[in-house]
Amino acid sequence: MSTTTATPAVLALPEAAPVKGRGYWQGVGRRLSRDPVTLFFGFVLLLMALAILFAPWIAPHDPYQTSMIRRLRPIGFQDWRYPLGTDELGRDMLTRLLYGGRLSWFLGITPVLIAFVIGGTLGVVAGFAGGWVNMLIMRTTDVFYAFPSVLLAVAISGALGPGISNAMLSLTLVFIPQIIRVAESTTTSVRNLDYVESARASGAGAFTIVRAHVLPNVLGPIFVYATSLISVSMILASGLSFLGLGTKPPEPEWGLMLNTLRTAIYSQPLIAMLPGVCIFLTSMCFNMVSDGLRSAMDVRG
Amino acid sequence: MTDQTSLLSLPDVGGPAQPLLTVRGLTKHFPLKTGFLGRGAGVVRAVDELDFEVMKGETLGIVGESGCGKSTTSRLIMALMAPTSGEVVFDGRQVGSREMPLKEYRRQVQMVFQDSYASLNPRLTIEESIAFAPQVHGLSRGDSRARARDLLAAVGLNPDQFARRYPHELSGGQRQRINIARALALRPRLVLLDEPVSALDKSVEAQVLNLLQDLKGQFGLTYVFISHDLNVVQYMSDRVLVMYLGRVAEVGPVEAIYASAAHPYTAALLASRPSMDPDLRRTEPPLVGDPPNPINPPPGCRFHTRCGFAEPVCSTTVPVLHPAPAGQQAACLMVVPGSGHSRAPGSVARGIAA
Repeated sequence: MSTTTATPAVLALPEAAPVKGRGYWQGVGRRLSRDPVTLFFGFVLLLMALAILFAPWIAPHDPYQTSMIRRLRPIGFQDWRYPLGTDELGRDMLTRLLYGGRLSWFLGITPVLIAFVIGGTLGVVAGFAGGWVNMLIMRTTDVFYAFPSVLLAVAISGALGPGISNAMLSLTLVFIPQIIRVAESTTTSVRNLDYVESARASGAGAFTIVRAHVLPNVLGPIFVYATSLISVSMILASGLSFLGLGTKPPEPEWGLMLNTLRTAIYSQPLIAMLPGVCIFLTSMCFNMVSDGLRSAMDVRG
Repeated sequence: MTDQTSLLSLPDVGGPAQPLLTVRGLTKHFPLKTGFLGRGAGVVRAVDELDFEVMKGETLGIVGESGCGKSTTSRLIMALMAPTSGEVVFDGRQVGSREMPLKEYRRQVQMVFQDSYASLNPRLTIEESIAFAPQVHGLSRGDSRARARDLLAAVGLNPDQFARRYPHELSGGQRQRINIARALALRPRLVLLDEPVSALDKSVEAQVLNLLQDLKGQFGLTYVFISHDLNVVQYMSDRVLVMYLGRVAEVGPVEAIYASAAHPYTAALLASRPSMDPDLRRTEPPLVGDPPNPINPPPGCRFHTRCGFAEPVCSTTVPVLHPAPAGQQAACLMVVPGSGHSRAPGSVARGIAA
C-alpha cells in the first residue's frame, strides 16, 4: 500500500539534486588516466625514482670500493655478485648507477625548478605589465638567447669553475630565459582575454587579477614546458660532468661515469654505454610524460 | 533573498533630469608602431570627438559598421583604456576626479562582453566568477556567494544546478546569462552591453533580450546597448546613436531615426536590412565599398566618399550635429540651413534638385 500512495509524489517533477561541475584538473586527470603511453612512462619514472631514492638499501655494494682484481667484469651472470659488471676501477656498476642517478636527477630537476620559479615570475610580470617592463625583461632574455644553450652552460660553468653548485647555477641561468619566454607569451595571451578585462572593470588591483585570473591559467602550461626541460637539464648536466665542470671523481654521476668509462670503450663497450643508456631512458621518460601532460591539458571546451 | 547589508546600489545624485553619463569630446588615437622605435608612423583615429549623453533609466543603442569605433567607445567609457582626450562625466561628477574616483565609478558601471566564453575564467566555478567583484569591493566571501546565487536565480538559472559548475559545461546562452549576472553583482546603475547577443542563436537571443528588459526594470538599470544588428537595437533602445568612422552620424529617439533617417548613412544602413517582404528585397547593396581607412580619414564629412548626395562642399566642411525635422540630430550638411549643400533647408537649389 505504501508504494501506491507514494506514486503521485514520484510523478511530480523531482527536485533536481545540486550539481557539482567537473573542474579543469579533474578533466586533465581523466584524460591522463586514458592515456596508456603516458601512464607507462610515468610508471617507469616512478620505478627509477624509487630505485635511486632507496639506493643505500638496494645497492649490493659500496659505490666507492675499488679493486684491481675485479676490473671491467662483463655484464651477465658469470659472476652473480656483479650483474651489470664492474667499471675500470673494479667498482660495481649497478651500485654506481643507482647512486649516480641521485646526483643526475638532482642536477636535472633542481635547476629547472629554480628556473621555473624565477623565470615564471619574471615572465608573468613581463607579460602582464607590458610596456617598458616587458621590453626590459624580454630584450635581456634575447641576449641570453643569442648563445646556444650548451655553449652558454659550458661558458658560465667554465667561468665559475668546476663544482656541483656552479654547474647548477649555470644550468639555471640557461633555463631562466627559456621559461621567461613561454611564461611571457602565455601571460600575454591570457591578459587580453575578456575575463581579465572584466576583472579590471570590476575594480580589482593588478595583484588580485594575477592571483585569481592569470596564474591559474598560465601555471599549467609553464609547468609542462618546465618538465620538458628536465631531460635537457640532465643531458647538459651530464655533459658538464663529462667535461669535468660538474661533479668530481670519485663521486658517482652518470655523465662523469660516461667520461671515465670511455677508456674502456674498446674492451667493454656495453659497460661503457650503461650510464648513457640511463641518461637516455630517463630523459625520454620525462619527455614522454611531459608530452602526455601537455596533450591532456590542451583540450578546450 | 539573502540579506546583504553592505554593497548596495549607490544613490542617485543629480536627480532624473541630469544625464547619468555624459561623454564630451572623447577621442582615442592608436599610434601606429611601424616606424623606428614606434615613432612618426601616424595614428588610427578610432574614436574622434565623440559627444553624447545617456539619460537615467533609458537604453541608448549604438549602431555602426565593423570598425567604426563601437567597441573602443565602450572600453573608453569603462575606463579600460585611457582616452587621448575628452572626458566622461558620471551623474554630474567627472570620472577619475576626486568626487568620482575610479574604484567607485567601477561599482556603478559594469559591462557585458560579446564573447561569452572568453569573458569567464575557465578555472573558476560560476559562483566564484560572479562573487569575484563583490569580494574585491569588500563583501565577505559568504555574502558574495549568497549574492551570486540570488543573481543566478534572477537571470533564470537554478543556483543548485549551476553555481558549482564550470563555464565549459554550459551553452552559449547560459554563459551569457552568467555574464549578465556577473555584471549585476556590484549593483551597478549603468550597464554597457557590447554586442551581448551577437554570438547567440536567434531563439536564445530573444530570451536573453527579454531577460535584459526584465532586469532593467527589476534593478532600475540604464543600458548602453552596442550592436550592429539594427532590429535588435530597435527592439531594445529608447534612443539610438549611429556611428561612422569614430564620429556620431546621427542621434535621436528610436522612432525618429527608424522612420525618417536624416543622415544618408543611417538611411543606407536601414535599407541594408534584409526585408521580410519578397517584393521589397533588393539585390544591390545600398552602400558600396569599405569604410575609408581611419588612419587617413577623408576631409570634410567622413561619409562623403560613399554618399549618394555628396557635393563639393561635403569634402571641405565638417558637419556638426544639428537638429533634424523628425526630432533627432544629424551630422549632415543637408540638415544645416545655409551650409552650401543644394539640399540644405532654405537653399535656392533645393526645389530644383528635389
